[in-house]
Amino acid sequence: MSAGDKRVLYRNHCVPQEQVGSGNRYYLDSDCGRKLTGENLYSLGSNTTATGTLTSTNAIGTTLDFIAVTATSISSGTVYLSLDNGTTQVIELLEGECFASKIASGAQPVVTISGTATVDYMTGT
Amino acid sequence: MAVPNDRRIVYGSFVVPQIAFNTTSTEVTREEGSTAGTASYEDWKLDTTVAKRFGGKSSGDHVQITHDQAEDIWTSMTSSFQIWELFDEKWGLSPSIWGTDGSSVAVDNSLSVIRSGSTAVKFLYIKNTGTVECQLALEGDEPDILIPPGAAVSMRTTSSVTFATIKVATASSTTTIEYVIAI
Repeated sequence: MSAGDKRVLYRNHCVPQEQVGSGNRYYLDSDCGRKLTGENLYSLGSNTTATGTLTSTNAIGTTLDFIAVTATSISSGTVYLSLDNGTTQVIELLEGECFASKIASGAQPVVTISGTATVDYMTGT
Repeated sequence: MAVPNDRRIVYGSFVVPQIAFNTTSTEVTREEGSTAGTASYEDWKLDTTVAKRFGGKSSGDHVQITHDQAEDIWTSMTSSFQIWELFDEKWGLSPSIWGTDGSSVAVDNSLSVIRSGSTAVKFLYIKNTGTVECQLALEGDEPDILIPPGAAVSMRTTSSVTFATIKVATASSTTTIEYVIAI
């Protein structure tokens, strides 16, 4: 590495849970048996990072290598993310939720906001 | 598997953008020629362009999924050996039936679905447990999401995403994944 190089450490995890009886507490789902997580230290080298905030439907960018999109607040409506320039919305973000992943350079992420919401994002190119 | 009263999935992401920098040298040379302190070296700190961590976590009811997932293969953690109908173990015999298949699913360079059918998916988690980058398509045949070895993706999916639209592949060679595809 050299000064100015960039990298992104990211983790995605999930915990499937089951409730045996109505009103009972939730336990780790017995079909999975464990918490699930994966992480990667993605090197961007001398490439660039950028951030932005959206309050209406907008594209995040093109020829990106990495995106992290967080629905920081949703007063009303919905927040969707598509990866094909807005044609098919495939991911929904509720308030506080984040999608983070390395993406193909051909992906065209677009955030669709209906209602009043604020979305923060960062990209690596 | 027994069907519980309810099921949900708690999920989250954590992102730390970093930039390399040269530390400030504290090295000094003593009168007799030896050195003290630490010479400048390259280290990592929070990316000054982004200037914050990213991430998030589901809250409230989290991702409510159907309590009856209908098939055991909604997660890859269900071993193909864990089928009661196949269990005929007897005391004193070799317990080979309790072997597992590692909970991993093989992925090759042919774009293919993990589960078949047109049922809408509410939540998707895929981790690459192999050594070759995995590609994931949620719509069409163009894989837009890349999952390096060791990495995972987790997401609340819209009704546009079904068993049939979730496709995985590699650019070449093979890898393995573990998954949760919940309806």
